[in-house]
This record gives sequence, structure tokens and C-alpha cells, in this order.
Amino acid sequence: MRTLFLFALTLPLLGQTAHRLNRYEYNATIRDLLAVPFQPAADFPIDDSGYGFDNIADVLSLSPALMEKYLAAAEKSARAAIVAPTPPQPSVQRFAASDFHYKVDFEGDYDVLIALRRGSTPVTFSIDGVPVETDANEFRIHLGRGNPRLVADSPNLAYVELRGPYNPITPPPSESYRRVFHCGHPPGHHTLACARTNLADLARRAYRRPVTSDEIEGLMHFVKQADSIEQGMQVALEAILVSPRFLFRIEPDSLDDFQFASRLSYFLWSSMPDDQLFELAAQHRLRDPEILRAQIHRMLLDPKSRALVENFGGQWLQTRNLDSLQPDPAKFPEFTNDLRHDMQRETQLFFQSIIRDDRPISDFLAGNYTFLNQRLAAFYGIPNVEGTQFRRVDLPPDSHRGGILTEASVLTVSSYPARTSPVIRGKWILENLLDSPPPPPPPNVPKLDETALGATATVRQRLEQHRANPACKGCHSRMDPLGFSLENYDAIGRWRTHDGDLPIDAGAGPDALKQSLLKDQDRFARCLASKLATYALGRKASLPTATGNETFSQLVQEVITNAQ
Amino acid sequence: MRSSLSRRTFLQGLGAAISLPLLDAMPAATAPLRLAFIYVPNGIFMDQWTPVSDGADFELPRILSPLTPHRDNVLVLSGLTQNTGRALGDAAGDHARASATYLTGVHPKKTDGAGICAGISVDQVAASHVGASTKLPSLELGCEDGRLVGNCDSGYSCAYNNTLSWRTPSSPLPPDVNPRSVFERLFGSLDENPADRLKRLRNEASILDYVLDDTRRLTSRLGSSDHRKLDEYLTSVREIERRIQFAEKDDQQVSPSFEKPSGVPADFADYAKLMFDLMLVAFQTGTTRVSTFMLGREGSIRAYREIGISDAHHPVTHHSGNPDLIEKVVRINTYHMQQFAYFLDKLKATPDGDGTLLDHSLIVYGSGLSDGNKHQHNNLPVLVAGKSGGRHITYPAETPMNNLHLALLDRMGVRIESLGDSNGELNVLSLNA
Repeated sequence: MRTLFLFALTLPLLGQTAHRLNRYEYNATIRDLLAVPFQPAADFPIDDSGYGFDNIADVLSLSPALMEKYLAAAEKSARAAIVAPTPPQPSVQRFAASDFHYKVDFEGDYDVLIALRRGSTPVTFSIDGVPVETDANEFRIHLGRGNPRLVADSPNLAYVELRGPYNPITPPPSESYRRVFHCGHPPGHHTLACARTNLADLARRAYRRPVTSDEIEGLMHFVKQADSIEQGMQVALEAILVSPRFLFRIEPDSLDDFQFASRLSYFLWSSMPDDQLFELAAQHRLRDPEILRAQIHRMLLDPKSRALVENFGGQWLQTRNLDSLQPDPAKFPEFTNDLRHDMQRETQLFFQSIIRDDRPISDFLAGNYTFLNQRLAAFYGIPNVEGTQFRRVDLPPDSHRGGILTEASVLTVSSYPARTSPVIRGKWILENLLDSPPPPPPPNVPKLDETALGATATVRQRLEQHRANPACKGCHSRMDPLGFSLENYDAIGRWRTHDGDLPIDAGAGPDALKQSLLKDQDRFARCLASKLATYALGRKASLPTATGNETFSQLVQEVITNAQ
Repeated sequence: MRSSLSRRTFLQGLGAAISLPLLDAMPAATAPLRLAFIYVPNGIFMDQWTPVSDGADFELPRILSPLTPHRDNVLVLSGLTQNTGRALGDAAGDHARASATYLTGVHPKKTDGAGICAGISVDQVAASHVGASTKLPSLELGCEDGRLVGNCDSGYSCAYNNTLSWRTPSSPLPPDVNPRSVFERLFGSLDENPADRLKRLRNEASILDYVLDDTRRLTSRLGSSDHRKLDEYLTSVREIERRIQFAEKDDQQVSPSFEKPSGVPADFADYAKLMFDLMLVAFQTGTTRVSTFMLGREGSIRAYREIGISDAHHPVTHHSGNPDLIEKVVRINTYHMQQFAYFLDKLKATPDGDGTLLDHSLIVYGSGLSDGNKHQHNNLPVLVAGKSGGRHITYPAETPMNNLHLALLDRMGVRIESLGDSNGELNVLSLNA
């Protein structure tokens, strides 16, 4: 009893984790909360990463510089969401052309003055090709929002003046505005009672849990103090957006239903839970296995699951690095920015199809289909793919492609700028497919320089050195053969049979490598599961029970339910 | 200041190990002293860095040659060591440890995420003492977006490679790599009218009051690891409150001498120069007195195409004695130094108090590794630019780099007993004297 009592006392001090939203999560959350048309986190400082991911709670720090950005982003977002555009005072613009476009931000009346160099011959005036019926040189027209083409046809034209808007019509409130003020009152006609309802709803969604009346009254203070309800709501919304309850997800060891909903939605969407998840959490039904299964399916089919492809996939496979890698242009002039994007896109679409079609996870290793456009297909030497559009392609048996290991993106990010490295590729496989990273090299052993051994030796001959040195042998005898199997792909992933004049010796070759990985598919499954678990929980985690027979959604459900 | 000349000449022949008072006659300062650390990654090819002879009669080797016009403003310090950067039982990870120890002198905890921990860095010690009188206590700059994924270095979180500045042992301050964003931190949004600005500042102050209060309620219910993160949050909120109070008093906004940068220049030299310009204008306007600047993150794999090098920086430094690769390393080292020489040009050309901005600055340049090929943490490349220099001093082997940090803090008017693994204050003849 006594032990139990002590344990209960210390419990609240253990295992609490505060996850700060990272840049992507911040942008996505603001998007789903307010629907503002920009990415407020674009110039936030870099998020540090740990365990290969940039959503690891312990390394996401909060510097004063970032706090300053949070404040500025909150102001910008709240202003964009709440401040209804007010029509300007009428102003004059002069055009010294007879044919021009005029940008109309506010629908309304505009006075036109057509000035002639001489004479007073009537002019024909048209708006988007529709003539205005008038004999005068000064007249009033009505313009809707847009960028109409105006033409004043006269050989004697000096200039055209437009003055307006008069009787402007305020555009309907934006989607953002409707999300904040959902009582339906027009701008300027809100009531305090309504502000309280709106604020409570905003705070609930921003904090991702029900809010107390004390919290709402605290926020209402801003509204009561302000000159107008809208101004007060703006400041209150700013306060919500810099509150730790918004900026952090705080998770105790044992999650309540709302915390669970947040974990799930940040895992699959990198964003806040939507109404459906929130409701299920409120009804304590989200963790019911059948309901959870249906929700995971729904979430993976939602376009927001693109976040999982980009953030989890891009970091697990390290293809995010493709953005900044610079293969040697002298050796690889084919590597254009277009090709870079195509490689990136192929891997994203392949990952996305596994998610959407809920394929077995073994497809990652050996799927016999991929996504190509004409440029990438030509690069791979695969015929009959035409046009710039990506489409699903069933791979011919002799294509040398299939599965992530043979995708140009992965082969490029695991190479040096000017050449392949069987060591890097071997290490890449051990780390990312087998969860068995080689221990770091012993201290003070300089890295073997693979180029220093002379250009006449094959890479294989050069790397024999690794196994000559007993301090290196243990790990390199695991890494190097894996990497060698992929030597038929050059440093940007193109198939080759020779390196310069020397024939490639790829050992067992890529197909045998894939077969051996498939044979141990439980190892691959545990590896993928532990990467998913680490990403989902924002700390080092694993799922030892994965077997390799799961579909993607089954693995997701296992991870969210059982990962430790 | 010429009065120190005879003494310096007199002492020229003596070894640096002899204890000397740091400096004697200091003039009444007409401008405050600024402190900056400029960092280059992956070590330096030391054969082309270290002057052959000690004292005042030394030749600038190839990597230092861009500093020829500034020879008399530069002290080259040899023999300093960051022992805490060595493995000390933690095996590989010398790059992560190089940057994590450079300004801290504390052996970092080997972790990829859980419980990152280094030590408070010298710039942050300085900032905590002299920063209260400036709008920003310190300014952290970088020239490389650290978004590369994967393991940063052998089981160390990327936080260790990405920054030099640690506000507390668990709170790294990531560098700002975006010139426009740095500009806005320094000068705010210049197109705002004074009435709007004041209203915004008042709103911000009341918002921060509210969240401070709210956070206290939140922390009273939470466990310990949350507290660490929320303490970070609270510290940051208080820091911003201070800045707002500062801004409210300062109704005449400083107008910088150049336009707001629009983005990140593609050319490395342009990028580095722009960041140096921003540091300079921050010093010049008194916006801060303390800054760090990483020309690249530690372990950087940037390819310096601008000088015709398409290999990534880090692998090239593992040259294993290959002359072609060494040549590339030296060219990268020299290229970095050219950018630094530009900064010294500008500091020297900027009037400040009774002299120039360089007269009132201590600018340390170097790397957390000496030989990048073998990951050496001893005999680090260190130079200090400021009012006076023109000397090469070799210290006894294994002299802690942190002894220099203590000397720099002393010159900044910050007197502390020790920092990290320091075992005394470095005797630096004529450091900014």
C-alpha cells in the first residue's frame, strides 16, 4: 500500500511531454483553424530534429526569437481573419492609354472622364468589349470586382481618368471571417453574447479540448476593453494563438480522449483534429477499435494526409534532402530542377498510393508499379509514357525498377554529388529499412577516403580496404555488400552497366537484395513501425509486434494504439 | 593607445605563458564594446593557417592572406583546445561536439532527442550581463538552412550541429538564416505609422500579461519535463515583454542605412556579406552588442560551386592527405576568410564614438575543429580581430579555449570565476587595448 501511495505521488511528475508545434504543424493548424490564405510560419527559425524527425518534443525549443515570430504571426493571422476590408475614399487614377485594364477591388460606381487633345468628337467607350451608350465625355459606369479591360477609342485621346468607387458594395465576409463570427451577423453588428460564443468555439478548437468558463471570461476581458467587438475579438484571438495551450500539445503518460484525438490528427495530418474527431472524442468513442479503424481510413483518404507523405515519408526516406542536393553538374548535366521535382514526385505519389489504396507495407520494398511522367520514364528507359502528367505505370519485368530502393530519389540522396557510395547506401538500408544502424566508427579513425585510392580501381577494390582494417571490418562487412547490390544505379539513380570503362560488379544485384529483404519482412515491418511510432509520439518509440503482413492502415492503427 | 606599444615591443620576445595583466591603460570608453563569434564548419587546413613564427613578425599564411590589410587588427592565437569536444567515452560525433562545445566548454550529452544538454555559451553569458541595455540581448545568425534530414552526427540531435548559442544547458538558440527576417527583428516593420505602432505594442503587452498569468495556472498542474519547455516559453515571453517596454520608450525608430532584404541571395558570398552587413548595422545602431554567426552548420555538406568546387564540404575535409582534396579544403577556407575580411573592411570604415566600429569590437573567428580530416579538437584555429593585433601567440598545448572566453568576458566587463572547463583567464596581450 505504502509503495503504491508513493508511486501515485510521484506519478504526476513523470512522463509529461510538451510538444511545441513545428513549422509545418503551425501552418497547417492555422490553416484549419482560420483558413487564412498564407503560411504564417514561413520565416520561423529552423526546427531542430532528433531521431531523424523534426517533430521530436525534446528538441523543439522555444527561443525569444521564435516567440517574437509567434506574436507577429498571431497578429497577422488574426487581422487577416477578422478585419473586414473597408472601402477606400474615392480616388482618381489617370491612364494615358486608350486600351487598359483597371483593377477593381470594390464593386461600385466610377466616374469616367475622357480628355481629348483637341475637338470634342464623341468617343466610343467599352468595358470588356461591351460599349457604353453615351455621347458625353464624362459619364458614370458601374464596375464589379475584377480586372476589366477598358477601351476609349479616339484618335485625339489625351488620357482617361477614373474616379471612384462611389456607393461601394462591401464584399461578403471571407471564409476566415465566417469561421470566427459564425453567428451570422454582418460586420459591425456583433453582440457581446455572440462574441462569447464565438470566442469559446475558437478557443476550444485552438486548444483542441473543451474550455472552461473561466478561460472564456479571461479572453472576454479583451473584448470588453476594446473600442469595438471586432477589435476585441482580434486581440483575444491573438492571445489564443500565443497561449501555450495552443502552441504546445501537452501529453501525460495516459492520454484522455481529446489528447488522443490530437495525437492521431497530428500523426496523420500534422494538424488539429476536425469536428468529427472532436465529437467522437467528446463521446469517448474514438478509441473503440472499429470506430478508430474507420477514422484512420477516412483520415488517410483525406487530402490532408499529404502531410504524412511529405513529413513522415520525406524524412524517413530522406528524400526531403533532394530539395537542396546538388549533384555535380559536370558529371550529371541531366540533373535539372525539373528532374529533381519529378524524382520527388514519384516517391510521393508511390507513398500516397500505398496510403490511399491501403496496400500491404511490403509494397514499399517490392511494389511492381510506380508513378511516372514522360521525362522520368525516359530517364528510366521505360517506353510508352507520354506527356508531363504523372500516371500509374505497371513496371515491365526488365525495367530494373520497383519499390523505394530503386527510385531515383532514394538513390540520389544516398550518393555523393559526383559518385555513388556503397557505404552510404548500405548504411541507408540498415538505418531506414532494417532499423539496425551500424555503430559509429571508432573514435579518431579518419573516414576512409574512397577517391584517394586512384581512379583506376573500381569502387569495390577501393572498399576492400575497409575489410582489411579489423577496426572497420565488423560493420563494413554488413554495410558494404548491401550498398554494392545497388551499384548498377549511378549517383542520380540511372541504370548503368559500366562505371567509366570498368564494368559494374554489383554482387547479387538489386533483385536479390529485395528478395532477401522480403524474406525478413518482419524486420522491415518493425523498422517502419518504429519510425512511424517515433514520428507519431514525438519521441523515440517502437512497436515490436509488427509482422510484415499488415496493410498500411493496420500498421497505423497498431502504432497509435500500442506503440511504446 | 600607442602607449602600450613600447611595452608590447618590450615583451615581444617573451613566451606567452608568462602571466601578463590583460591590459593596462584603457581610455574612457566613448562607445561600448561589441562581441561576436564567427564560425566556419569542418575545421581548417592548419598548415596553411598557422603562422610560422610567434610575435609581431609573422607572415600571414595562405588562408589568412585575405586579412593582409587588417594584419594590425588581428591576433592569431594558437594552441587552444576544446577538450570537451573529444569523445571522452562517447565514441563518434566529433562534428556535433565541435559546435556544441565551441562556446560552452561543456561535454554535451550524447542523445538524438531525449534530454539534450550542453552548457551555457559565452555569448549568452555576455548577453545576460550587457544585453539588458540593448533591444536584443544577442543576435544569432547563420548562412545555411539546417533542414537536411537523417542523422546529423552519429547519434547526436541536429540541435548540436545547428547552433553555437545556448541560453541554458537545455535551450539552444537556433540561428536566423533569413536576411529579411533578421532585418525585421532589428528594425520592425518600418512602414507602420507611430499611432498604430503604439497601439500594437500596448495590445501585445496586455496579451503577454494574459498568457503569463494563464501559463502559471497551467504549470501548477503539470509534471517536470513539461516545466522545462514551459519555462523556456515563460523566459521567451518575458524577454519579449522587455523588448516591448524598450520599444515603447524608443519612439524614434532607427532607420537603417540599407533597404530591407527581399530574400536569400543565391551566391554564397552575397549571402554571407548580407548577413555580415546585418550584424554590422545591429552593432552600429546599438540594437545588440553580442552576436554569433555560423557561415555553415557543423558538418556542412554545402558544395561551393561559386569557386568551382562541386564536392560537398564535409567529405572533402576527409582528404587523407590527398593533395587535390587538400587544395579544395584550403580554397574553401580562404573563401570564407575573404568574406570575413569584407566584414572587417566594413567595421573599419564605420565611425563609432572616438574611432571605428572595429576599435570597439572583439570579433572571434574560427572553427571547433582544427584538422577536419582527423577530427582534432586541440590547437584550434582562433583569431581575434579588434582595435589592436598584429601578433601571433602560441599557448602551451591543451590550454582551454574557454580561458579565452573568460578573457573576452572580462573585456566586456563581465567577471565570472569560471566557464565550462576553463582553468584560468587567458593572458591575451593587447586584446582590444
